[in-house]
Amino acid sequence: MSKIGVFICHCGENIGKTVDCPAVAAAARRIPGVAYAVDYRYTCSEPGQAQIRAAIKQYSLTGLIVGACSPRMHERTFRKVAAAAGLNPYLCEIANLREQCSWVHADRSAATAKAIAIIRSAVARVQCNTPLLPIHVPLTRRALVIGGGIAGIQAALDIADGGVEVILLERASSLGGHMAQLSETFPTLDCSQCILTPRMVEAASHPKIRLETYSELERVDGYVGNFQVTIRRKARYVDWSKCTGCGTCWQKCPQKKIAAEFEEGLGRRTAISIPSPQAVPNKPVIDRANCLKFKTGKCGICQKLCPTQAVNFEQKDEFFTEAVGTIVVATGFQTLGKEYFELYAGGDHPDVITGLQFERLASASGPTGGEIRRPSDGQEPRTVVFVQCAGSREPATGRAYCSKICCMYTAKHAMLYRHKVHGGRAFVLCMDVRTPGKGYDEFYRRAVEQDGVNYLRSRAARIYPENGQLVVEAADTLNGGERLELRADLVVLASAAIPQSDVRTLAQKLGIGYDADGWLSEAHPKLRPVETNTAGIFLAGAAQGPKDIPDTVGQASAAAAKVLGLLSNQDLQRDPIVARVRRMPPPEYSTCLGCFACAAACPYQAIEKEEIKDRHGEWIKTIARVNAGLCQGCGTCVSVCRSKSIDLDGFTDDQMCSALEALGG
Amino acid sequence: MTALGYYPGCSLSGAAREYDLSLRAVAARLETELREIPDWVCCGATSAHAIDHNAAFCLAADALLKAHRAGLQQVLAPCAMCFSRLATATQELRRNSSLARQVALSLGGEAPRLAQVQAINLLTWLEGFPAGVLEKHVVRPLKGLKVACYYGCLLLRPPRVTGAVQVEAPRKMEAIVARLGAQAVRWSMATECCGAGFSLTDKTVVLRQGRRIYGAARAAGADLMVLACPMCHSNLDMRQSEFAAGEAPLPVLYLTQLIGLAWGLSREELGLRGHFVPVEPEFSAALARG
Repeated sequence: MSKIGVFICHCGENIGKTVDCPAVAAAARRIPGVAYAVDYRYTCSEPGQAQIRAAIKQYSLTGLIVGACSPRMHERTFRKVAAAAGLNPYLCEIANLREQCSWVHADRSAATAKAIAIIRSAVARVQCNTPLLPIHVPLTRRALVIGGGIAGIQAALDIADGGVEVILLERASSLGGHMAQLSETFPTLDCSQCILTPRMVEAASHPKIRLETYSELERVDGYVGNFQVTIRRKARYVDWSKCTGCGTCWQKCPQKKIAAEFEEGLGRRTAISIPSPQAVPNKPVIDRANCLKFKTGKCGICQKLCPTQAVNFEQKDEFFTEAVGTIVVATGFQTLGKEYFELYAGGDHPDVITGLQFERLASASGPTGGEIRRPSDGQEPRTVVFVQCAGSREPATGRAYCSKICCMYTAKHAMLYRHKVHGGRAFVLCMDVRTPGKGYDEFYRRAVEQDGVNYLRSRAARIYPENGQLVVEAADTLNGGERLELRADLVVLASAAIPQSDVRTLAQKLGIGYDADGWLSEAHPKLRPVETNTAGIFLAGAAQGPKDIPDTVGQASAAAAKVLGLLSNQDLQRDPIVARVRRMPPPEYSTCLGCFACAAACPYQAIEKEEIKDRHGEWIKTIARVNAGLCQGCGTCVSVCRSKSIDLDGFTDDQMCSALEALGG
Repeated sequence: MTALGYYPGCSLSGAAREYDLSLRAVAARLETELREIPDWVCCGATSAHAIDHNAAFCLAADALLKAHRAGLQQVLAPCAMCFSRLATATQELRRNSSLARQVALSLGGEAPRLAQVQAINLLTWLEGFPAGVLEKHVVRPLKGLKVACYYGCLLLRPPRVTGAVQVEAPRKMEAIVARLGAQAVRWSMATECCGAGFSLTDKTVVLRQGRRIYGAARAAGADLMVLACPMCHSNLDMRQSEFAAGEAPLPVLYLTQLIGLAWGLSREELGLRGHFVPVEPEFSAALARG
């Protein structure tokens, strides 16, 4: 006779308010096979856990049921409690009395009756449970970091400093990401390049970091500890092993009028180019769409002039596969382009620019050498209007969220403008100013009090050109929406931070989640902020949601700590919830007929072929075998098996049928 | 011949008769039979919706119910305000069952059927014609004619009622104008309010708005303006002599009138004589310039 302990948790009022927990415990006591049943206010608390440990020992329990929240929440917790008291953890089952009962019902007596039925079912189930042992799988002590912005660089450096080899993948030709484009950084106004480029160089020269720039993730196979990642190294048309970065090619390239992405379209580049003089690695790629050689077959000047014969127009994309144990996703964000804002001068006026464009104007390495000049005619703008929340916090246009970084960078922009253009007037149109962060509000107050930036609480409604200027119409939201009209020489839009356009494809390749806006989902918004719901894949930086540099770096280091923690194990222990092909004694060996419908259905390629031979090595039959390292316990094979030869440990047919039958009563 | 419910509303039977005339002329060429809802009453856009919420819905629902009884699934409401009231009513009656019951009680039953009729505006109707249909009737291509397309408020807003996707910088009317060979100018006031709500209480607002809209259309180089709302039309046409006294006149046409001109319909058919700002000789002069 089994001796099962039943513990009914009130979950404060979450369960207790709707379900009569003492009555459920009393009913449980009457179920055959139950040796002990009790209710408690918070079973997951230490006194609650102590109560379970004591009962296991006192009553020599052979099974444990906790009637509480969803198993997603605390199954692990209570299985650990069981293990601590010497009971095999897989003899502990959760009966979900919260999500599947108290939260979805209002009638107390009906909910209590249902809770008792759930417990009865769990008792029947746990009587069929068998002790299971964790599966050990080997671990590849190597990490992949996707994205070479500040998040990826920081994560890669921290992991590498922990002694683990890192592949740092970046799709642009240089490391740096958005931070490389910034002029100064809030709240200290230190130059972005000055703090970033040393880290880029450090990453590139670290013995444990392998840089793969101008490369993209093609596919991911495997699972935590044993990922196989396929990387596409895009054709650069330059052999980087020969290239010395001398610059002859990009100086002599005749295609000089291409809008430079790094300059946000405000500067020009050549068809063979590096994004910026501080690029790491400092080696060029050829932009096939704009190269004369590719377009017309003529030219090839770069190839003729290259002193090391590094230019190779025949180069092709290369694919290669690497084994890694964990992956950090640090793919960053983008900002809404100004073409999105049609009400703001049609979305294509040269003097309406985005915040990132202003960064390039203010940057000493930018197209104007750091002088603030408006794009249309190169004049110094006497009045600049900064429009905050452009595209953010507007549910009507699709984004309800706050982009978080704009209040601070707009204060910085207005400040930089006032420093550079004496006598210039700066107006900031804002919904409100959000400055949580160390030294942030002081920075904003400095813009207002010392640098004379005019903040107007208002919403910019429309911008249109008139007589060489831009008329900004706004609603004064402190004054009943009274119309405000400003005449500006330059308008800077603090345009919303948005996810990378291909983030969904990436997330699907990795098997990780993303939210309705397209930000990658963390496993828990508060308690597991750098983990994803897929084991072994971590998040860093603005791919998870808009973030400034300090937050990004903090999260990148946190992700690195998670990676190092995971890889510090000798091997990985996995839940033994895996499928198993039933075996029996000779002469049948197994009811498996070897049809391999399971292999076709398995999403994880976990089904192998096993040949059964007699003692002389003569083949008898071929049957399916589950690779426990690859199996994720989804149960798909169980449902397609025609001869019912596969069972899922922890969810066996016996367990499920008993649970269902008990419900029926 | 395709049958389409037609709800002219008070304006098209009165001050905006030329809209009604030109619409009927265009519909005839498009082989659409406009079936006027029998015995229709006010849409509720007047004082009703400001004074009595339920009465406003009852008025709109009455029209929808009569349309349903007449076997009509779609009702064209050319006036932007009528369209807004009918569309709002359909949506609210679908969403709010207690309102639907109340309205049904007032109208004598049949609550569930009220919301089955769909109100559409002029733009939705016209853009439903596949490429080539509007174009094939063109006998006088409007090549070179610069047109300011003016939407005002209620053709597109609020988007949850109208279902419009591009609300801030719409392109629907521009697309139709382009199909006639004309060039839609890019300008800043296409969705600005004409001030109609203040036309009786504070004329200065109306004049200021008219001035801004007129000025922006002129600055964008428009030869004329097209729109699809009788209230906008009366403000921008009738009051133009006040807000743009002594300046170059800017003819203001209903979209159906511009279509009719491109299709070579007569001035009488299109009611072109009913305007305060004469359409001619500006229109012909602009075409000649183009």
